[in-house]
Amino acid sequence: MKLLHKTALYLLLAALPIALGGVFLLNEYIHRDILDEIDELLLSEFIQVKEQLRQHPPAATDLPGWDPNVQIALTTTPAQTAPTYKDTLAYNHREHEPAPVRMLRSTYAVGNKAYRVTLQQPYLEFDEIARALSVGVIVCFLIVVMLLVGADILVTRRIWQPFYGIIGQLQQYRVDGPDEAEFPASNVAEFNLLSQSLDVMSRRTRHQYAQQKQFTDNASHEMQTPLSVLSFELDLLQQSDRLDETDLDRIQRAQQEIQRLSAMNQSLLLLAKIGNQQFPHEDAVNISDLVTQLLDNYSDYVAHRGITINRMIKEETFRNMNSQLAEVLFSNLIKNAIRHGDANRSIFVQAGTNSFTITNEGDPLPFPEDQIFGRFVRNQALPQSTGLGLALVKEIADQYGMSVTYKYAPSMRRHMVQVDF
Amino acid sequence: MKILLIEDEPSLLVAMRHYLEGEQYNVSTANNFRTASVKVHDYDYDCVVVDITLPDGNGLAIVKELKDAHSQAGIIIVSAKNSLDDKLTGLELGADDYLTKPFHLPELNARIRSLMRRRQHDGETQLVFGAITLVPNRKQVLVANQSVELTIKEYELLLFLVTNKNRLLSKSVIVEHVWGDYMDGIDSHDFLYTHVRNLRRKLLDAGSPDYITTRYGAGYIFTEGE
Repeated sequence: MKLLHKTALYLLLAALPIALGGVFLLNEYIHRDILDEIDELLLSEFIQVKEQLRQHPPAATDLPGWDPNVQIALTTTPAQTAPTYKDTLAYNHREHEPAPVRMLRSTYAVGNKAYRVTLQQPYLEFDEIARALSVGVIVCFLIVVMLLVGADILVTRRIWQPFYGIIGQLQQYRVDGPDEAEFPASNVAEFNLLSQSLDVMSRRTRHQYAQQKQFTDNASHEMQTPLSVLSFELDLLQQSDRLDETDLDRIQRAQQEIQRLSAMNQSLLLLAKIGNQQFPHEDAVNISDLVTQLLDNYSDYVAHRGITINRMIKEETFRNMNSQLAEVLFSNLIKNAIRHGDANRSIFVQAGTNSFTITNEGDPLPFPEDQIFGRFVRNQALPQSTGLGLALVKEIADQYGMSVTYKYAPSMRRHMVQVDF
Repeated sequence: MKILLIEDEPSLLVAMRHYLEGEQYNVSTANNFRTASVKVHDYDYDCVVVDITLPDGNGLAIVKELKDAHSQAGIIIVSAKNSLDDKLTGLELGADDYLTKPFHLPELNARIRSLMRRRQHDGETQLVFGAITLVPNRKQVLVANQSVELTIKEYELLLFLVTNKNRLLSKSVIVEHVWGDYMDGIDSHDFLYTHVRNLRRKLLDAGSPDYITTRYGAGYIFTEGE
């Protein structure tokens, strides 16, 4: 839910109890006010009645009875009493039913006669007026609240415009993009601050990323060059006529180690680059074609070792990923199986829509199973291994949220690696 | 054949020059961008081997200069970075080939030869070594005018041996050239032996003398006999 709508909703939700409570309080207040007014009215009427009684004390027989609201009766209680007020019901002639009235009662003495005065004032419409008033006011209140919420939505939408602009920029932000991200300026101080902070942050990130990348590139260059020098010198030395077989053998081994060091260097750099997310470009990679082509590359070697490859490759399987990394991932798995698989046995390769599985026959791992994807974990029996192939597989799989699992079935002596897309 | 080597690392430059001069090339060198730029303007080369990373410029700019001047030279880019971007940019600019360091000198030689063969439309269409004739355009091998049936890998193996004749070629260099980077880190000792044995048998059967000498533990030399 958008901030805008959430605010409006909460405002409306808060307005409802306020309105309900308001009706009650307002009603109470108006009621009390009316009561005071009525009491005042009754009191002034009572004063008038007292005046009349004092000036023209009536005979007991002609005490006025024509007004039901003013009743005066002779009483034997001699003492004067202060007026008392009370709410009661009285028969209403117009409505033909009992209706609430306010009553003032008092005893008043004129000379030796005491009169009991009872004055009534029907509430009549007062109650209704109070109710109508409070409801009316609350309805007005609700209308005003709704108008305010409407206005708030319009205003907020305008005010938050730069914020959405910033979000839009952030969504498109790429640390390796060709252009520096420009976060929009705004006349709202907070958004301006946010924009500026993001500008600073993105510039710093880009700078660090560029430095990291530069370091990676430089490290690669700096290490490959001395390795090339070594390799060239050995290439030339090998051509000498004065070398015997032992010398040549030593040169061969040195060459192999150079090759291994170089491969290790490349793999470590690749690991670093993947960690730095320096392979942002993604394509829909045709996994079926890629796996088939990689397997074909090894067909001579596989035939030489008498290994049969059973392929179950589903056609036209695509996965979005960097094509270079896809090649590293699958070629490392395939090479691993071909290199470690026993001669004259079979390798099963299964590539489906959701997973890729490869199994080969061989002795159990010489190290704990859970270390298989670790760096520099390798079978010492294979001197040319770098121990980084499966670490790369894991790193690439993690990059794309795929899971890689390894299992060994001792009864069948089969190693299985499975990648779930 | 005139070759210009552009490389900032003196040891590499000396080694490449030494090997290529042994292959009868006329080799010039440049160890920085400025010198290289002057040389490609002033002279015509058949092939330019250029390192991308130079102290005072980018080797790709040399490729661009050569292409802008409509040079006929074949261009091989050498880079220490196994970077797909550099490779694609280089090939887009008009480079003919790309080598990643570290590579072997026989491999560089094979790349230059192959490039030269592709460039010379009317020239060297046949490679003759003793009784063997290779026709690269058709990937065909003739012994005494009779075609020898070789597999594609056997043909490439033979071509690589002939290209680097009289040189001791180690097994890993041969395997990497013929089967590619995929074989990197795979023990290919027996594997190559089988293929060389098959090739040797087919050539002998066709009536060719045995030019392949095995140097135990090291590799093979293709030579016309001691």
